Amino acid sequence: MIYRYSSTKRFLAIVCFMLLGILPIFAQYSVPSTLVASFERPGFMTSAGQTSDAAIVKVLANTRLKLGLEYDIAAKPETIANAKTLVLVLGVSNKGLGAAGLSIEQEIERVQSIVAEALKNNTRIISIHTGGTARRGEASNQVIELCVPASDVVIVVEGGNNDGFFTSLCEENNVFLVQVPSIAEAGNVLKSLFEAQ
Amino acid sequence: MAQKNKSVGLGMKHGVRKFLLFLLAAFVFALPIFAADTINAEITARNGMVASAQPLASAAGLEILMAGGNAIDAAIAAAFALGVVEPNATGLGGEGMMVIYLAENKTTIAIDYRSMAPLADMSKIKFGSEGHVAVAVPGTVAGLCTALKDYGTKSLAEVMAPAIRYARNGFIVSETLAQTIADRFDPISRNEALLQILAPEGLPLQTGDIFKNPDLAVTLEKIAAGGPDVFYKGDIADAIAQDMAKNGGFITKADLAAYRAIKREPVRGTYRGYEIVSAPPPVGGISVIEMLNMLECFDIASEQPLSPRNIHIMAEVMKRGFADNSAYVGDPDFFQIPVTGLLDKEYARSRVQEIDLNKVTTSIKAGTPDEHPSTTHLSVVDRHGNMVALTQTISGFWGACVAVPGTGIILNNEMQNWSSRGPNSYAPGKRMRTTIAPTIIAKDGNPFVTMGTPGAGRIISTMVILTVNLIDFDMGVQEAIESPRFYARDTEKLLSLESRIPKETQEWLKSIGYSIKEYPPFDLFFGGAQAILVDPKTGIMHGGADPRRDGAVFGF
Repeated sequence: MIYRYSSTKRFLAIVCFMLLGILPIFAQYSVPSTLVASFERPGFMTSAGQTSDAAIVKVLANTRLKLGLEYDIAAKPETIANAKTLVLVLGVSNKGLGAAGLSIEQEIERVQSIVAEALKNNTRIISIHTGGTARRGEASNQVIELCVPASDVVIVVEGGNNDGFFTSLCEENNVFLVQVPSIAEAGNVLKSLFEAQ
Repeated sequence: MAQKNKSVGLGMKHGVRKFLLFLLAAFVFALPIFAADTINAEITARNGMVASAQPLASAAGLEILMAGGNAIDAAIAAAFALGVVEPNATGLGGEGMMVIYLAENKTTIAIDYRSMAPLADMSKIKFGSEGHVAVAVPGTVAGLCTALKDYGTKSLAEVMAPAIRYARNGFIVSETLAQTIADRFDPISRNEALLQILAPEGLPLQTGDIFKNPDLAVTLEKIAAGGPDVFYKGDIADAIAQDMAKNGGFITKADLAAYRAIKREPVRGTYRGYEIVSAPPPVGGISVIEMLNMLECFDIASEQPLSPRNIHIMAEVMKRGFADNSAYVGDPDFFQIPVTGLLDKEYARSRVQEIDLNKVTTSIKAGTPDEHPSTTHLSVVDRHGNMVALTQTISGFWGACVAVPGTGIILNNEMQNWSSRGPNSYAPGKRMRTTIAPTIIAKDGNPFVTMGTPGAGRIISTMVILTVNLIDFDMGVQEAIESPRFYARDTEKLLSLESRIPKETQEWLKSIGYSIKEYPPFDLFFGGAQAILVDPKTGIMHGGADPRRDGAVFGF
């Protein structure tokens, strides 16, 4: 017995498959409407771990996307006191620590203190991770575990989440995770989160 | 049926026999590959070989060897290519040192193309690591052109062709290169010309992007057509001098016109019956030989390569060698260096008297001998037996984070390498000390190893470890390169080591007083060595390249 699909049904089936194929793409980048344009200014960006990625995200955010975020790679609690939104660029860099004259213990203490200051002031937190999984060592994971639970949203370039580390951590702490394919896309998501200037 | 069984039986026996013979042959021929558990394979060839920190540079050198060029032609080709494909570590805006062995007349010469302080008095300037003030007069073009003119057989246009192609057509950015851009993006973004090169669309180049430098292609073409005078006296010199003047730098056209590459006699020593020929002051070869002289006083081979005792002895030796390096090594045209004293075996013996095999020495001073170096390396051997060991640099990765607009040239930051006093203190026109140490090893007058490494302060210690691995422990060249590394010096409290050094060994070292800083299993903090060893019996070349960087060996 030969079962023939009508051409209409065939067409619909093709469309469904296409939609199924591209839906995950939308799902990955999509930010809930409750978060879009909900983060207020002034915004302040700092690193959590002295990663050199912070300089790149700064150029992306301020030079390319003109978000106008204040920036200090090694910000102290008092410098973020007036910020309505804190952007943390996650990742530990030994070179960065050396350049800042900080030990890892001192950097962890600094990150703890700025997160505490942000929570005290009801400053909302966006955490961004743009590095790969291979570079993400134990110290970076420690800093990430400090920041993610306090964050309102986490943006991760997908190469840094191959082991599902961010997925599990965000699920455990009920934090929204946006996974993007590139640093440029991370910037676009970041821009979408801020209220219009 | 019986017949069928018989034929099947014979067939099976025959098939099994063939299979077993195949397995045996595979095992025998595979032995050299599996004898040591290495990440990179050791490459062998008969007619010529190039080992460098970047596959495209090695390919450039091989291209020239296969076109009939000699080792010097190939080395120059690879060196120019490295300036395009490893621009974080070397280039036209940098400098270097090479050691050349000429098989025809069995002579070895060193070419010093270290950068030079501008002739203006900068004694009141505070030297930093970034910006135009950090730049010294570059020597790469002079050094490479001098070597080619005096010892090569090909034209400048021929040997520069691969570099020009790479600059024009582009190459794929590796993870290593992308990471160096990310690490220094903050200072890079402060120089518009450099930002245009490394972030052409606003964001830094990422792994997998195509990196083109069309301005550099044009600059290379000008040099290929017009020779080094185009760089030191012509319109490239104009561009450099104008950029300097506009941005508070000190290099003038007169400085560039005054620059010369200098031929020097290499430093020589012996280690357990092998001749060690290395780059002379103002670079680190003298300290490599001094450290080997000290090590010769110990029976290193009686224990495993990375035994706790061996690491302790080598760390103590490194610290003493570095102390002497700081105290005595500088530009020989400005300072009388006690070369004979530092290379003297008796002096080395006096230095090791202080070593306690059961306790770390916490404070080490320089000795009193009589009398009184973000970098890259390549090694080349040709079928005539000529050898080149060439190490060149722009000092820190991305140098001063300054590019000369319109030229694609990224400038060095060598002016950060002066000491506050001593033989390496600043003076106008002086060449600053560095640790680079391209080296050739010979046995009974026949050179058979060419090697070197980048790695800043770790260059000298890594060269010592490589030599010990090859001579004391008879490792293959790839195994020697991949073997775990460590580093100690007089001015640092920590013993830095790769995490592959066993934990029990680390515990023992801590128990005798070391504080340890552990690095990842293969970390480019310890350099990226390349080496070629020619088997004296068979003449087969064995090449090794370091997985800590993007090293590659090509041969034919």
